[in-house]
Amino acid sequence: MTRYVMALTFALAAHPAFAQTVPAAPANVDPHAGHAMEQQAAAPAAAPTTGPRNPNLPPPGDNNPVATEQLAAALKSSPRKSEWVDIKGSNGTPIKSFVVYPERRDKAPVVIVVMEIFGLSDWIRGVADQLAKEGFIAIAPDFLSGMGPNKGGSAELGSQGSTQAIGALTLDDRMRIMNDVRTYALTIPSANGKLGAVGFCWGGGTTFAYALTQPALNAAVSYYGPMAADPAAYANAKVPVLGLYGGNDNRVNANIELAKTEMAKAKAFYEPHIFEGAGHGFLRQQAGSAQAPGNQKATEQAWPLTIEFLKKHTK
Amino acid sequence: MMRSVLVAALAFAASPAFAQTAMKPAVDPHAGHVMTDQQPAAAPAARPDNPAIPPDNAAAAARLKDSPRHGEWVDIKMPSGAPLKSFVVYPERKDKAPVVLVIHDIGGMGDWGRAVGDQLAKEGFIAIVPDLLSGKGPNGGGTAELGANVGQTIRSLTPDDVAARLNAALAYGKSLPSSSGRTGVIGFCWGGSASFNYAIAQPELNAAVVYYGTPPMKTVDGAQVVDPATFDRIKAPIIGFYGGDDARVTSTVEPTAAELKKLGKSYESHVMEGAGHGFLKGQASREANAKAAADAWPLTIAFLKKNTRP
Repeated sequence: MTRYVMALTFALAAHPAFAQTVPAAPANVDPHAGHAMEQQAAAPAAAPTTGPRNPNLPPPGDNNPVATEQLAAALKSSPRKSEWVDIKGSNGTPIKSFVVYPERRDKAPVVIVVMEIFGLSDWIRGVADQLAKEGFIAIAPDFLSGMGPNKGGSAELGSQGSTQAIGALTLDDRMRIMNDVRTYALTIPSANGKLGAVGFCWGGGTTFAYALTQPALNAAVSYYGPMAADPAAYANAKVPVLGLYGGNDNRVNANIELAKTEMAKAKAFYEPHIFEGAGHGFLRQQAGSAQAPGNQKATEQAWPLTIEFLKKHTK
Repeated sequence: MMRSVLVAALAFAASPAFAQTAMKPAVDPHAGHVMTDQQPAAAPAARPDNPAIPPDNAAAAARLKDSPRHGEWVDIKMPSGAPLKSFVVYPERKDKAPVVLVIHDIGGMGDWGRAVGDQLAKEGFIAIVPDLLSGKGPNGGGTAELGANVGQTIRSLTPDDVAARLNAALAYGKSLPSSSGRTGVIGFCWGGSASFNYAIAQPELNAAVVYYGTPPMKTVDGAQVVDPATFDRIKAPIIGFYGGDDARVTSTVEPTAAELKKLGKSYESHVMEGAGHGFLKGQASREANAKAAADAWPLTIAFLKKNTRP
């Protein structure tokens, strides 16, 4: 393997500005990434999160030190009021939830922020804070409340433990918790009675499913959430849904056409956007990866669409 | 290329896929930062984690935590109706992907096997890592619940048990909307043997990778020897990687190659000089293991990609 090491050394020596060439480099190597590559050539984005954070976007939640620091700073320096609330669970288990209030003089719509498969993380709290900045009361419930050690939840389970525990939540459990949070949201004195939901990954799937079962919801935004494969699930669809997807996330995207067809049959609004070159979880992993160089660009495009859509439907 | 290479059916040196894949890490952007600090030829034992290949056992948990890919736990239904608890990782790609089953070693389901799954997903595969001990532990649990009894329990699984479980995982993988329907299997140690056995049991499989696992064995005059009785059922090409210092397993390579050659089966074996048993998981334990891992993995990926193309 001498040849391999030499080639490597040469490649590095020949590219002192290696880090900056990162997005272009993998294009030549992975035969599987063929289609994604055309996109790369057109959009050489995917700068690592080394620059200052764009305050008009949710903070990044990548697993790198820069993103971790930016996320911590965003939460710490937020001027908005936030609090942990135990929302009454209809099955007797309190739903620990992070609630952030906007700085505004009039009543505000509420948005339920539905967590990823990693549980109620700091990043989800960062998204809730960003929604409050846009004028919404944001509630991020911990769906794993009571399922962790010592009746704890996501925090006690950790991100890997949450990933494992979350499989125990049935669709009925998820809908029950959403309804419990909805009930609480409508009792908030400064809430205007309008309600939206935005979810990510596992939470994107949960949000879409909620839109199909709870007609008294004004808007639903699904970030790369898997969709029901059973056409019957869409039969009573009423709530408008905005879907935001990474192009390189075929696990999720494989059912977009089906969802489009079934939503149209039910005469429900569904607008999917597929961001080329982005992967699953792009809004959190804004720095992207070699296989998902378009995450940052997708974030920049998807978030304004999210805010516009939520504002329009929760007026 | 100091290692001895036994090529039974495929002349891999002539394979155009080899050169490209072996060179791949040179342009992998993830490798960049790590490699900058390395000395050209003889990287020391304390080398940093190389993201272009699966991690050493000690780095597996951190790799999983840092993965940008979607990994989820799924209860796959077995014919008995009981769940086969499995970790599934998806690649970041826009088209359909082949599926690779990852078979854990004799220690059962753990972070390292899951990290191998994640690494395969990085290379474009949907990886399914089943806990083959699902339901064998207390209260219907698996590896986690068995604790110290994993080794004992895993020996009670017959090749038929294992094949039935892997068939459930394979069927699940093929049914995924984002799956291309092409399939491979890779296994380590006990799982390496299981991978070889699965190539015998499952004719629809497109590729089998064996890391330091034996083929079926039988006892003749009190000695364990290779049992080729079922070799004729093999349809998938097999590639095997073995430690030079792992005579228990590696002594089976030549007889296996000879029998498979007689039958016209595709079998490519690589004996990694100086490496011990379990070298991919134990990369940090000796220099030869690290080298073996760095050499074996690109060949693994090239083999899987070539044989699972649509």
